[in-house]
Amino acid sequence: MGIPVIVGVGYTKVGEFWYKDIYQISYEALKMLMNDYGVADVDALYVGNALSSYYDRQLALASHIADTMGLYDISVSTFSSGGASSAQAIYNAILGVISGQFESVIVGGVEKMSEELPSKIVRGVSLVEKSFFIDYIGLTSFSLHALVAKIYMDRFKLDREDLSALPILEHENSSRSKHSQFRNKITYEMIINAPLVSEPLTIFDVSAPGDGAAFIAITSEEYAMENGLDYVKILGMGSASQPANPLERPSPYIFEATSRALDKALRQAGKTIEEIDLIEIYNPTSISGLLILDSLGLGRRGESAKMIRDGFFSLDGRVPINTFGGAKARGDPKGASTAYQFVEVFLQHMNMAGDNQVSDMKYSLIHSMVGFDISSYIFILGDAR
Amino acid sequence: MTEISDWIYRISRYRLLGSRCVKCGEVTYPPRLKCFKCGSEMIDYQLPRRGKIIHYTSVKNLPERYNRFGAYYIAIIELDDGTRIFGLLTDIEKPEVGIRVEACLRKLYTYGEEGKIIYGLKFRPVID
Repeated sequence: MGIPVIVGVGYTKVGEFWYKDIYQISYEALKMLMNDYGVADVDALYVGNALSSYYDRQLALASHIADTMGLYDISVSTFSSGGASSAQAIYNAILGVISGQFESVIVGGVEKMSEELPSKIVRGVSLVEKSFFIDYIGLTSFSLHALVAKIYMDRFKLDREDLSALPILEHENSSRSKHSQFRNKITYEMIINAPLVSEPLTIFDVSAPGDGAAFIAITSEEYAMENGLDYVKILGMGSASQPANPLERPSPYIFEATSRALDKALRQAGKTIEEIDLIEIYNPTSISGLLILDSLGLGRRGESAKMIRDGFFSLDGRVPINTFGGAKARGDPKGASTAYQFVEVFLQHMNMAGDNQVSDMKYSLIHSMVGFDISSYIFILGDAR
Repeated sequence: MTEISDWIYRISRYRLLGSRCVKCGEVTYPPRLKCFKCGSEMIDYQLPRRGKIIHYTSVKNLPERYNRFGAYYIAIIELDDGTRIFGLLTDIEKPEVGIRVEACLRKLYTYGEEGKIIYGLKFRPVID
């Protein structure tokens, strides 16, 4: 049984790559990983991808990416669950290393969204929700988030400025990041004057479609030591689910799947939430970000917006979050999004985060979820060397 | 979802037929096979066709199949028995929280130029 560690990362900038296909984008990220980190022989390639089965009509993407790279003597698997596609891929890659079946796995995700029509993108990203009552009646992911935003803001007496705190923070972090899609700082005035997506959400409250690929290499600790590689340990992980319909939950704004996954991950890692120095959450909207932070239990429910405004989650705050801008500002290439979160946490642990470097960090937490917290994944990383 | 799935779900959708747990009485819409609370069997349950708007929002970036509209409103509706469901609003200029609505059959979308037309329920203001 090996202790899983991350030994390297490869990624592209997030953006709109009009002249590259999904394989060229993957190739760039994988080439960086294999060349820069000396990861040559691998046992498996796991790939997260949310939308190629819907856009490109291409199934079994991992097999075709392995073919692109000329990796034939390996195990391949494709994972497809919206923004958590690569979270699932990484979760299973870690299991593969822990079990001893694999010594070294390359895992991550890729997405190519920009070439599709807006209406097909809006529908595509909404298909992780249950089609019967979402897609069928013309609800979208963002309109679902908007409805729960109204309930949440009513319940905790929050205003539009509270909702704006997170996107402003994310764009601030993104402004210094080299691989982010949106590097402009934004203001409250810009948010409220922007086109509406679904009231109260405007285009600055929701993530935009992006292209990108991000991969990490996970090996056993022995393998990393034998090969003289620097690494970050994966100390614990957890996953849980809840009813897909927010109206069937005890409360639509309580993210039970996230808090259950969190309990499992912290228990496995032998840590408490107070010991975590940095958090990367997967929040496709401003409101979902607040609900995730509420469920991580760093403050009282309903107070996350206030904590953001007080600087608790800023780069120089007590627990920095989404240090390269998160899904909103770094960009949200769905199937690759959680792989980017891992890349960013790795850069932070290795003191390679440049202008976004967080000082004195020991333990970090990565969150990802399918749809509106239907299934969630938490990973605890730390002990870099 | 395919044309066949849309056909399979037609009864529950046209009639607003949900499900009710034989043991704990939990009511769900869409219908479930197994109670998500206690794990028991579910039986058909006829939901009332009237209720009131609890929350609403507009959909402005339109999904495929619904992009023939300029924009539209969707709402969380509390039906007269207390069950809350998502509903697409119609025949309404400006929704308000608390107004009474009722289910009505409308065309929703089609499968291409020559494909099946899919109908379903939307909610319109009650005129007494």
